[in-house]
Amino acid sequence: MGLTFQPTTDTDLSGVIQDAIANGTRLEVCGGGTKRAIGRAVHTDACVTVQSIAGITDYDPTELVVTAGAGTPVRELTAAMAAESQHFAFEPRNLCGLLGVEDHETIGGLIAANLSGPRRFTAGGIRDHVLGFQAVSGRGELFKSGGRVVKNVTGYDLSKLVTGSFGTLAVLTEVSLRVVPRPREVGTLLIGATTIDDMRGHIDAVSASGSVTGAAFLSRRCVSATSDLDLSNGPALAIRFEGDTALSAARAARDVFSVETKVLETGQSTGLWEQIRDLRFLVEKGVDLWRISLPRTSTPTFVKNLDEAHFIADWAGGQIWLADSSGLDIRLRLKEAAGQDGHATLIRAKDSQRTDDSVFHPQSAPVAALSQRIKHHFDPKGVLNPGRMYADI
Amino acid sequence: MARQAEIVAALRTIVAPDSVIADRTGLKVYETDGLTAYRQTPLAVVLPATTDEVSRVLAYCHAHGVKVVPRGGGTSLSGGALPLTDGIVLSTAKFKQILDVDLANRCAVVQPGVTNLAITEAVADDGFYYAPDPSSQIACTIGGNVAENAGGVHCLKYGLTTNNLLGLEAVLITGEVIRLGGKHLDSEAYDLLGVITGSEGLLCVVTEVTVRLLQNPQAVQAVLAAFPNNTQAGDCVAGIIGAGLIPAGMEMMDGPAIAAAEDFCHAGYPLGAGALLIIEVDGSVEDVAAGIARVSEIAKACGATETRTSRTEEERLTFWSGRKNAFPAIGRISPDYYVMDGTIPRRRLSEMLAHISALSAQSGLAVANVFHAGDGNLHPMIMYDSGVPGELERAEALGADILKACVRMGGVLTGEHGVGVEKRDLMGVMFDPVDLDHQQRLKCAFDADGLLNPGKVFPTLHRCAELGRLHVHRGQVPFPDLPRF
Repeated sequence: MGLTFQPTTDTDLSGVIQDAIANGTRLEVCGGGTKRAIGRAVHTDACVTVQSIAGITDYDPTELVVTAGAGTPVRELTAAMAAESQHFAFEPRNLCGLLGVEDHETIGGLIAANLSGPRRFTAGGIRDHVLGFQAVSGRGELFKSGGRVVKNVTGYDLSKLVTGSFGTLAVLTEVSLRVVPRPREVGTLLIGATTIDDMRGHIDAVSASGSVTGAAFLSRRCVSATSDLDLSNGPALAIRFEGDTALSAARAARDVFSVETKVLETGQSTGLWEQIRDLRFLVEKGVDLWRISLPRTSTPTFVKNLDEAHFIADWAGGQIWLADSSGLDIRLRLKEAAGQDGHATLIRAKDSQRTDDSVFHPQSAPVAALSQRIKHHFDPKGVLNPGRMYADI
Repeated sequence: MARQAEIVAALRTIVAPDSVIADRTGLKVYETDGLTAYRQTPLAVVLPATTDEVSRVLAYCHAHGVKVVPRGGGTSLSGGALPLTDGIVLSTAKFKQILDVDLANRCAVVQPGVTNLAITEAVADDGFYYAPDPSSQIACTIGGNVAENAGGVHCLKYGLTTNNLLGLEAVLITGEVIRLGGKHLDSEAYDLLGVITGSEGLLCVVTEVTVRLLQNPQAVQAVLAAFPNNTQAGDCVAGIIGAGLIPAGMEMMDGPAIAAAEDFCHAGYPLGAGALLIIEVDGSVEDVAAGIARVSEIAKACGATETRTSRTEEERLTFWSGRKNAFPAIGRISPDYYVMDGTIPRRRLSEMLAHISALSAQSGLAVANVFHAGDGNLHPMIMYDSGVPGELERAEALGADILKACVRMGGVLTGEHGVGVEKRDLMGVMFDPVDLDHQQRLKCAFDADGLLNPGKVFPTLHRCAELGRLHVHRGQVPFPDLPRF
């Protein structure tokens, strides 16, 4: 693979894809290229990037909607929203540090990978905030779906289909997302001397206020790795409160616990949750990195006997990020902990492991067949990121 | 007729014989849904009781080319459950069990025939609720809510059905059973749960639903604010959002709607007002107190002639009673009414209302407006008399004009009621043929023969084989300088 196409308009992009169809060639689909290490390795003839289809096209803060070219850097959007005291509720996870690449992350790439941050369990994920898009499908045709308003049920919700599809169905050119006001206050309650078994009970003990928007279990090494957290006895549970009166809520919540606790104010809280969001605690921990989504009650069983230094349990226990190089059978462990529920995705792995069909979670035969039919209808010649998710997808 | 007899006989070998309805009187019950202007009698109605029965019914229909219209509570306002004279209705009325309430995982697993309200009632004593609350929540079923991606007055903060689902079991037209999601978040690959939600019964039949439960907020209070006109009320809505507040609900009613609602429920609405807002704030006790104070200030600054804050739960519910009964209230003053459901960018609210008045004057039919102002979702209620020749047609034409204006203003045809048969022919106003072709390709992946709920959503159904053909337009080469593949 040598060539890179960088079209500046959707018409040019359409031409690139039509050309590939006509010539029987395959394209790697990229935004800023920061997530090339995720998923199965693709074997393509050229790369197409949307980096030059960029820029914010419409942002009216009172509409709570932003529309931008798919190649718009996430940082540009974040800055524009911050200037209006707004942000994306889904708290995009930036894995550039973890994956060891420069931060050229684009909004299109973020949507294609559906990597939502700590607020996922209360505010929804990226899938819940994409309102509409334009894209060129693997048929080389420009199409749109959804709209630029928050409430819309006109036609199939194809925004859900493209979110998390890793560029295997269509190349996004323009996206509209929901925006929300930033909370006035952010407070974090750190509870020391805790275990994963206490996590759920501790969260439930303070969640009645309705202002809890983050809850993560951090190992002792995570705790000591940052000077912000000077609890004497790690591991710790971090619970985030957000709202008009979040700091007083976080302070009041201390009374519930007899163990050591600490409250971080807005600035420190924001810093800590950025580190949790971007998994900076896991940067140096082994090669294989798994993302596991599971029912929160299954989490203690899943992590039993694992070295706590190697995982972060986020989403109030509903998502585990695990760095493991010992060759554990993660899917067997998940099945034993959660039965039919949950899924595990290999996010970072040795190249040799990125070729088999176990990077994304195995699907039942009818669901796999359905997904293949969808791929076939949107990309009949297998031009876009072929094999990125499964052998046929 | 022979075909009907053959289908009925076959269905009776799959489900209990009395679970197939084929007599004229029995079928009458199913000939319409919440959009009563449209009526059609189906070939038969089948009421399976298990997933296996649904699977075998659909496999039979697939093998024999029988069209299927799925039906939940039959409350669709867009004709989503309108039967076909040459198809059967598959009712989920026997799927009424709440299978599992799992408070530790904040979810409940229910069968599709359970009503929306019954879910909340099952967990209310434990301090939980299911967030989406369409006005029809006493009667509408969760299966229907999934099909239509139902909303309600609390969408602004808590989202639509799609944002409150964790898992589904569904049966494809082939009879294959699929399970998507569960008690965990997000899909392992393509978000099929997300695309099935809101697919209006065209992709599969849902047989089990896992919904997300929320903890009741510590405090809830509402402000009732009266304004001399729509523009000032619209300014207030923009002001509240601009101030960084996301109320749990923000509803607006115009003069005619206020008068009708007050006459019907005596909610204490100020009768002389040109527009009324109900703004509800929920959360912690402290946040609610702070939020209510800010909302009241903004309302006064925007020219509110009166603001009232609910002091008790009873008073809050009284504020809501008029709004929640707006449809029957209009039903009392007009022989018939037709509810529209467009969404527009919030900034164009007053412009849109002025436009609706002008269109209403032109057509000679009165319109009262209630809407979810927080998310720009309008519900103009067109009053007409079906007894007067031509009035239904005029009402439909007026409705179509209103929806076209919504799209022109940057909005959409439907915010929460669905396309159904009602807005099917307007899809071309919002989408061009290539957009619609891509939508139909999803349909083809699920139901290649087009047997599930045909005639809904799409103005024209292409054959899947035709849609599958690739049309490559060579000649327009974007990077002439680069070597070709």
